[in-house]
Amino acid sequence: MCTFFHTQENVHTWIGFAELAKCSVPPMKRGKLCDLFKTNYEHMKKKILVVDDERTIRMLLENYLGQNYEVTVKTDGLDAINWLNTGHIPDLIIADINMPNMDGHAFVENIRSSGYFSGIPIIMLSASESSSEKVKFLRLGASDYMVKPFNPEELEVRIELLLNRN
Amino acid sequence: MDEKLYDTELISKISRGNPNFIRQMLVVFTEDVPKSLDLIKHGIAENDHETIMRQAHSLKSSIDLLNISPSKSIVRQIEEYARAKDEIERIESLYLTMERDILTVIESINKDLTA
Repeated sequence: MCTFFHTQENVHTWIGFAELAKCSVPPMKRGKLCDLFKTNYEHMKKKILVVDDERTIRMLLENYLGQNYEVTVKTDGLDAINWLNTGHIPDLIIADINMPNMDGHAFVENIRSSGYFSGIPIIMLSASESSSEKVKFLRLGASDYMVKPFNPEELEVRIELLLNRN
Repeated sequence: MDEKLYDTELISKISRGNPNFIRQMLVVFTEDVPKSLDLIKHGIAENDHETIMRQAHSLKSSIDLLNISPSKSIVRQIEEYARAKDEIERIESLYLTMERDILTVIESINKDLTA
């Protein structure tokens, strides 16, 4: 199964493009095409979207994660949703909870109820140590929850685990 | 002994010791934190617990990031009191202590940045 893009639908879109370009792709070649895309995809930097209204956190995450990932930063949930709606698909999202315009709660709800983005893993990064807050977000559909200030190595491991799971 | 009022250990770890980045983060701290303090002060004047709670919450990570020990527990108390809609005088008294400590830290950072 080709699960290297977020959805199998994406793979079929790529196969569709290839079919248009080469007129047709026999079924037995499809597997090879999938492998080709997989090889190319694995060499690409994975994309991480960081959503936080605090400049220091955005700068820290961009600096730290930017060495291994392609990082995009947005200042609040609404800004992030607008960016996603213009055709950008990150491999993972790191989001704050307390943000203006659209907070973390509304943001996660929005992502999880959207058919297109619902499979993207989300790590909540919050200044709140409260266990009930953590449980609330995990129930809402967040994939993980970390407290600020974060241990960079721990964050990186959690990112890797989520990316490998998907 | 000249005791350091803040430390950049965590920023240094995250930036893998990049001195330019550490400097940039300190500049951002001196620019952004006074704005949050002003908003808390304004919230106290207006009896606006929601603003106080939100600003104290966001200030928490900046304070933790530079490990400003005396303000760590105070900012959390301010956030809790604001969430519980506690008496504004109680919050104000904590705020004044925190403001004094943080402004001293900012002064110290500015001195270090120009040294």
